[in-house]
Amino acid sequence: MSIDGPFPVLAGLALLVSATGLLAAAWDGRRALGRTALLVAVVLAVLGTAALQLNRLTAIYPSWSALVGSAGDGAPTTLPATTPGSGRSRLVRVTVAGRAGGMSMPMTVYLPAAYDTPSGRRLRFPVITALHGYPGTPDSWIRRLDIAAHLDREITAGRMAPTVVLLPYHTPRRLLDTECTNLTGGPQAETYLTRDVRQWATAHLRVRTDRAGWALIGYSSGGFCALNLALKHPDLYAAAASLSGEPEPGIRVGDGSEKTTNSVTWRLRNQPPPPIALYLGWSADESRARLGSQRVARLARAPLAVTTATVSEGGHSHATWRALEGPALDWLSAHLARPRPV
Amino acid sequence: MSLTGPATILLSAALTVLAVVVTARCWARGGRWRLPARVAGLLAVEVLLAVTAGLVVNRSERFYPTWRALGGHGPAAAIVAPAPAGRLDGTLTPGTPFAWSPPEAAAWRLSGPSTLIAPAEYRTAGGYAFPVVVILASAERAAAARAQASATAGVLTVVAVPTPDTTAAALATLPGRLTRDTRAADTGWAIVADPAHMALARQWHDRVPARFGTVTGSFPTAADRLPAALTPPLRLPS
Repeated sequence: MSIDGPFPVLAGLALLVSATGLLAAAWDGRRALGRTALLVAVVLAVLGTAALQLNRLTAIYPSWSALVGSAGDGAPTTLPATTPGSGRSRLVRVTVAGRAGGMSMPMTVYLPAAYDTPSGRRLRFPVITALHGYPGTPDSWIRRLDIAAHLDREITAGRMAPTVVLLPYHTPRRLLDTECTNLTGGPQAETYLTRDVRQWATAHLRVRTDRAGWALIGYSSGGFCALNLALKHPDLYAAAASLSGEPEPGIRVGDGSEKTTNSVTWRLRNQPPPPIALYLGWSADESRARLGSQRVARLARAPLAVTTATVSEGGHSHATWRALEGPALDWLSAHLARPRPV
Repeated sequence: MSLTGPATILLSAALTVLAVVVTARCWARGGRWRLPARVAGLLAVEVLLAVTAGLVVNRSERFYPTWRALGGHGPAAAIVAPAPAGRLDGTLTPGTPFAWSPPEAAAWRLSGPSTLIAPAEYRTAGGYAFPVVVILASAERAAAARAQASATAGVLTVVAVPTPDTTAAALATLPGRLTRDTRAADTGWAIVADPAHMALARQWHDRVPARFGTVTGSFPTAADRLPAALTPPLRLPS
């Protein structure tokens, strides 16, 4: 039984109703200790059911094993062997042992169908790094936003070039929000994403190694991550797409840099604009992402190029990101270098 | 009543308190209906507590700003518009230089007609738009540039020979004209310039950074960094 299917929530509701009935029926015959135990059972049933439903929305724990184990267990550090000529894209789970950032985390890799074809074996592919929101995991991209199906559809239609997509974690602890920064005294997420993940990809995959072939996309806090990392590392990325991202991290980094070098608006006001392209998407009925994205667009100066996209409704939700996902991926492909002969 | 407004949260909180009070007062009453009344009261309290907490979190985070969004009404699906044909699609011979001299060319102050070179797959890949390399070269280097462009796949090339009067402002209409005359992509263009025209290339790039991704002195470098030829992207309905 999948942890994020409807049955665990229904089971939780059934348990809640049962515990409530027991409380009502057994209250009169119990003393203080028994009544307290009944109340605790009901409260735990309420909290447990709510947590299961929240997990369905965010995919923080995509499996029961993830709930009881660590995030990084089991995945190999190298790419599993391919099935020649399968003609389909594939999602592969690997472990990226981050030497520079000190994080050792699993990562899901999308390999387009062309990757395993005879002609594709002679190519190095462009790369998009897709960053999840908080709370969330790379599984949010896969289960809630169906990114593999979106990529398959866009590539098959010719709206995207065949592209490798990396889906890394940006926190070693599911309930710790790093906003892809190097937290003082904490996880070095920025270093992990910009050095370790990149080094793993260039060492184990046939991907382009130049900045023209690398881009970022993220939703919610992953949108901030995409903007911040692209602006801080224009030598590594040619483009970034933010879906409902905000220009500030919303956390304390520990060195005050959330107001300076880890603030997109500070960077645009105080640093020379880099020659990269940004895509800012948001829902018109969500004021925070809308105002933040509009502020970024206003501050952008050449050679930084900004494209904006708005959906009329959907809020800060998966409905909005599902609508923005296809257009944003197409836009990224139009700003990424093509597959290059090996 | 707004989903994220304080009135909704206050109403929900008030109903929660009311449910608690009513459940407590009726706890010991009801005779044969006591048990179902207790269960109903407790479930009402639990549901209202969860709803109130959810409303508070939703007001803070704006996950669902409207009742419509909460009800699953997402934005309209993205759409695809077919690639518009270029005015010269029937005229261009892939790989063969074409003297391109549209009416706007007089304002560009070039030394003569530009040369347009379509890639080999231009006719077979009918629905695709192609990335563009604009080569700004001196007259003596233009022939070599044309030969290089003719042998390059997946790129639409314009070879232009500027004069001292050619400015970035004067060239402003060239991209628009090219996208009407050919299936040129809207973005992902590159400018290749020899040293004498590099300043002009950079000025032109900075006027429209969204269109030009690369300014370089090397045609192979520019072609390598260009995006692939693509069909028209998904667009959000306006």
